[in-house]
Order: sequence, then C-alpha cells, then structure tokens
Amino acid sequence: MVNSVVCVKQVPDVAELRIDPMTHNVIREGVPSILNPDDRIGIEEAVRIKEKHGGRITVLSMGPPQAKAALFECLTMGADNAILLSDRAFAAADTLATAYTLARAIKKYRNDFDLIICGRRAIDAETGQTGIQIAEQLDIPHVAYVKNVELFPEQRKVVVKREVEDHIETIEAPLPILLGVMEGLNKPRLATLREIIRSKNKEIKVVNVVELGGDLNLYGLKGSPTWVAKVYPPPPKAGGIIKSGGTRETVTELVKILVEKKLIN
Amino acid sequence: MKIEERLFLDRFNVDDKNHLVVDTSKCLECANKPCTTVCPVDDYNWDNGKLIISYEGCVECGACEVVCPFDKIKVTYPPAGKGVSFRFG
Amino acid sequence: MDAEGKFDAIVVGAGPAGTTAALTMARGGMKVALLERGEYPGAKNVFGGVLYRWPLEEIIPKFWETAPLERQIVDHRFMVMSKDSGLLLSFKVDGRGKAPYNGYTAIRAKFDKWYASKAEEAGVTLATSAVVDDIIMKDGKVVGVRAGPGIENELYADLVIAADGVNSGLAVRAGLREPPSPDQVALGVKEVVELPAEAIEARFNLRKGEGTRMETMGCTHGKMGGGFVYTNANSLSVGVVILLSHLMELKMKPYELLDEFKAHPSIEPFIEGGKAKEYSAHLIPEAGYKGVPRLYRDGMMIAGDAAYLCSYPEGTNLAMASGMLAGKAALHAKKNNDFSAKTLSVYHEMMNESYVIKEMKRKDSSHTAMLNNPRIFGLYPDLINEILADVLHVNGETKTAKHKRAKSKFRDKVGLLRALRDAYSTRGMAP
Repeated sequence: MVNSVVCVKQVPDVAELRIDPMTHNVIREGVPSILNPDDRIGIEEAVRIKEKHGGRITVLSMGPPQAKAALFECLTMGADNAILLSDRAFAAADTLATAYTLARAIKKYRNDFDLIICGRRAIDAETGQTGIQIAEQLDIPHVAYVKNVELFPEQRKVVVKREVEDHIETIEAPLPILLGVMEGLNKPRLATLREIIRSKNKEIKVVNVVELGGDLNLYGLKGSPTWVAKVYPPPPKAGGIIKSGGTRETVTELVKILVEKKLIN
Repeated sequence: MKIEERLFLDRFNVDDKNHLVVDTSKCLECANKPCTTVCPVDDYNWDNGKLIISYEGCVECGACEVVCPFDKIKVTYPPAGKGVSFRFG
Repeated sequence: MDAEGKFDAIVVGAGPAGTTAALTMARGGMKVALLERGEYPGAKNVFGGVLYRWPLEEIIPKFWETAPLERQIVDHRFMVMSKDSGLLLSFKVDGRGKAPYNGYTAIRAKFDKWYASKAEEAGVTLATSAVVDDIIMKDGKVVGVRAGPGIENELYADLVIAADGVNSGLAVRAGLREPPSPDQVALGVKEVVELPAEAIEARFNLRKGEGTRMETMGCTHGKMGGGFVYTNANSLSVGVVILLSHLMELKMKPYELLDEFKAHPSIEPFIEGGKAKEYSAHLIPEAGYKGVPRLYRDGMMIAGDAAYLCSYPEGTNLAMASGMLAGKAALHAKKNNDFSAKTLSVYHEMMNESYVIKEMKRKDSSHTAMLNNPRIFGLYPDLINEILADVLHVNGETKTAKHKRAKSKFRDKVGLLRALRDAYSTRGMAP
C-alpha cells in the first residue's frame, strides 16, 4: 500500500495567452484554464503506483472555486478524492506561502502519506519551487526532475532517476518522500468512460482558512516575502535576414555573414 | 482575412495524432479534389502531386468526409479534451 | 451507473436535442447518462442563431429569467442582395415591456452549458470529454456505447439516444441512415465579431437589449445558400451558408464567400470596427423531409441534427422538440419495460403529429425546387436589384421608359409564367 498526495495547480493555458499589440500587456481575459501539464504527469504516476501497490490517492490544490474542474480531471484519471484550499486569505501567495498552505493541509488531512508528488513546475509562473518548499516544511526528503520512479514499499524506499544538466542520477531514498516529476516520466492516460462517471461521486472537499487553521500571517499576500515587480513580454526579435537566389550564392553569403559575425571561422 | 489569422482566434488543444484518416491512394485519379476547396480552414492542400493534410487547425465540421468522391476520408473525433473548443459557437 | 456500468438510458451529445431528451427522461424517473465529447457542452457546437421560446418554455418554464441569453429578437430582416446593392425588408415589433419574447439570440458555449446543468439538476449524470465512437450491439439490439478500448470504456443501457449531431456516426453505425451526401448538408462558416452594445443598438436601430436577426440571399454566386447577421449582447454572429454540393461546383473557399459577404456595402457598415473573436464552421442538415431517416430501432432512437431534423431557418427548436418526444417515448418504453422497436415506434408516431415533421413536410417540395432552380439564388436577386437601381436612379429619363425597360428585362430574363411557377414551387418557404 502506498498512499500518495498529488499537488496540482490549475493554470491559464499559456498557448492561448496573447500580447496586446498596443499596450504589450498579457491579455488574460477569456484565457481558458487547464490542469498544469507536469501535474498531470504526477497524477498518472500516482495512479500507476496505486495500480501496482494499492493505496489511496488524494489530489490537493490551492486556488479559486473554478479549480474544481482541474481536480475533477484528476479524479477521472483515477485519484480517489480531492481537496481544494480556497479562500481569499490564500490569494496572491508566493511559493513560500503556497507551500505553507499545502503542507499544512497535508499534515491535517493526509498525514498518513508515503509519497507526495508535485509537477516540476507550473507553466504560468515557472518557479519550480513550491514542491521543494513543501518537503522542507514537512521535513521530509525530496528529489526533483524525476524521470523514473521505482517503489519498494516493503523496504520503505524508492529508487528514482533524475535528470541533471548532462547526465542522469539514480537515487535511492527512504519513504516518505516528495518527488518533483517532469515530462518524459510517463504518458498521461485518457480517462475511461466509467471512471469519468464514477468521479461524479468522488469527493472534492473545499477547505477555507478557518477550517485549515494555522498562522494567518503565513498565508497569502501576508505570508509572501517575495512579489512580482513587473511582468513584461520579451522584446520582439529583430527581423532576420532573408536571402534569396540559388543555393550556391545564398550559402556562400550565409557563410560570409557567419564569419563576419565571428560565429564560425 | 487570412485563414491563419482566423485560426489564431480559435482555441485548439492539438492532439499528437491526426484525427483525419485519409487514404490517399485515389487522389491522383480525383479530378476536382473537392477536399482542397471546401475545407473552411485549408487543412487539405495539393502540393507537387501529393495531398498535404494539416489537421491541427481542424474545426471538426466534417465537410471533407462528405465531399470525397472516393469515400477515402474519415473524420474521427479527437480524443477527450482535444481538438477545437468553441468559446462562442 | 450500477456495478455493470448500466444506466436506464444513455444519451450521446449534450446539444439541444440530447439535453432535452436526457432532461425529459430524468424527470420521469429514469437513470440517464448524458455523454458529451467536448470539454464542456457547447464546445463543439455552432449555430446561427435564434433560440425560439417554443418549445424550450415547455421544458424549462420562464427559462428567459435564468438562461444566458444575448438579445431578445424584435426585428426580423431579410435582404435580397446583388453584388453591390441590397433590398432590405424589416419586420419589427414593439418590444417595450413585452417579455417574454418569441426568440432570443444565444451563444452556444454558454447556453448549452447552462442547459446541461438543468439536466444535471434533474438527476442526469453528465459526462464531458466523453468521446463515444461506437454503439454496442447484442442480438440485433443496441445495448450500449463504447468510448475507447476495454470494458472500462463501455457503458450499457436499455436505450441509447443518439443526438450526436449532423455527422452522427452512431445513426450511421446503427444502420438508421447513410453518411450525408453533399446535397443533403450545407456548410456554414461564421465569425463572431465583437462590438460595443451601444454600437450594435445604434447600427440596427434597437433599444437596449433588443436584437435583430438578419438573413440574406444573393450572396452565394447563384448557389443555394445565403448570409446571416445575428446580434448578440456584445458581438455579431456573421456568416454564410452554402449547400455543400453547390460549394463544390463553385470551387471557392468558403471563407472567401464570408469575406465577400462581410465586405458587401450593405453589410460592412454593421461590422465596421468590430474585432473578430472566433471563426467556426459547421455542417447544417438540408436534407428536407425526404431526408429524415428512420428514427428508431431496437434499443435506440435518434434526435436533432443526427436525424436531419433541421429546416431553414429553424433547427435548435426542432432539435429540442424531437428530444422531448424521444424522451417521452423512452418513458413510455420504460413504463412497459420494453425497449423494442415496436414500442419505440411511438416516437415516430408522435413526431409525425408534431410541428417538426409537419413543418418539414410543408417545406419539402420547395426545398427540392430550390435545390434544382439556379434562378432563385442568382437571377432573381440580381434582377430585383438591377431593376430597382435603374428605376430609382433619377437622370431625366421618364419613369415610364424605365418601367417599360424593367418589364422587358423581366420578360426576357424570366417571363411571367416562369416567375409564377417559381414562386409557387417555393411557396413552402413562406415564413
């Protein structure tokens, strides 16, 4: 038996984000929300572990009430129940305050966990810090950039492969542990018809700040020592050089330019 | 308005698998190639004696399947959550 | 759903027909699964469109108080266009304090979601992102549906109602009809163009919240079809519809027709300065009464576009009406605990007595006439515009001479007898 908690986030579909050509601001209006892709990989891994070793999967998220849609999707993939931490007091949290909130909920509702799985990073802010901070707050080990997981529940250990710069590390670590998973670990499944329907009866518990308790100064904006000063799009790339003509001339010209720019010699 | 600009307006969640199942064995015999003209998003293009199919911008109308005189086009449904999602419709 | 994955009924497609059928059955105490392949109901749906009060009001009384509607239709416009002019007819009613209205514009992605939520309130199990691709047969009976490989993707029921739209794979698989042929469906292409509410009201001469539906003919190069502009709260739905077989002959891109329509001098001022928000395309059943397939078989019924129950300019309300009757037939079958074709034939009988089939029958001969008469969509609109342009142009030439020329033009190009015959043959299109 392996009990897992999977932390997920509902994020704007960045593929749908547009930059206002006049103001250069990101247009957020009308952008649909999706389950963060790395978190989907986390759910899939948890479900595979459950299928092999048994246990229970709880999905956990912090966000507005609409985030229920992302949690429901996790349930249709095979998670057992979901908890949504939703309160104005949690709003505008940085990664530290978010990690505090999630860690507190894990302690309160799923202290029997063997495994916490987080996506490597969310595609909206791309910090990749929350998972690691949850592990620190819970005082358990963590491994990030995980691309392979092998569990040995009897020996209370896990063997994972993680990707770093130019090589792959194999790490053996004790349970309980937090794993930050990334693309390439698995291919998330499509929900089956029956699981979609069963999920209609699975619980999505919504928890507010009163119920969660804890130190009010550590939640949301108040609990956030960092903040975003400004969001701006990268400067548009200057138009490239397009040469036309026969292969021989254009290649000769290309080589000439590359030599001039000292990109080749 | 160019078709690319139009498609930019729509929300697509593109699957990695092509849901337009086309058997191109009869294309050379096909005089008018109606798929290349009726498709409202230009997914079918005849290029250098070959039918080039780009399913990514498909709005799932099904016209191509109906017009193929050889019944060689099958529009299947993209899997759950994939394909076009109209926000207005 | 019981342990064997069984419901009383499965409805495929959470559009107007499917949701209505599901709602009707759930209210009658049946356990119903409503399966929608889109991320949400409406995600794959497109319409013109006006939502008429009938029969929705029968299903959800006072729906206009809670449903996400755009504008109440008080102004019906019809335009006969030539390349560069247009004759506009407008019938406008006094909408002041007259709620509820006869029809409303709606955005499908919003309305269908809301409508399906009403079905859920009635006890329907709605599953979205549920992509059904086949029916399950046993001993010649439809017993369920399949959404992928394995038993976990199979769902069983006493009854399956296919409301999976015009391309209905399920109706075809069940042998109830063939896939559409190019002269049984029209292709509609549409843009939603954003405009401030005040601009819409000023341009269409409307009071706050009031709306116009405008249909046009003469913008399809003589082919069967037309254009439309519908006013939403903060946008216009602008589109062109053309019979698919005619589009094949025309060899134009459908969006080129839309571009022409949008640039037409009688249309362009309505949309000027607007911002395109969405581009969509959809097939519309144009099979007429003759095209309506067999509506049922053992363990299965079909409704809405899947059964070609669409007849210009109405579709959504016909879909709802058929969904309601399919639901009623299902309740009848449930009561008798018999879902055989024999019992389900009550659906067919009720449909024959309904507005849906009676209307489609009435229009049927005109439908055929229009399909085969190139004058309707080209010659007449052009001639009317040409004559009006000549007669209304003041240049010192006497009106008597102009009238005479108009008459001879009419005689040469059409002739009185033929015009009368054409008018008679299309009488079914009378509103």
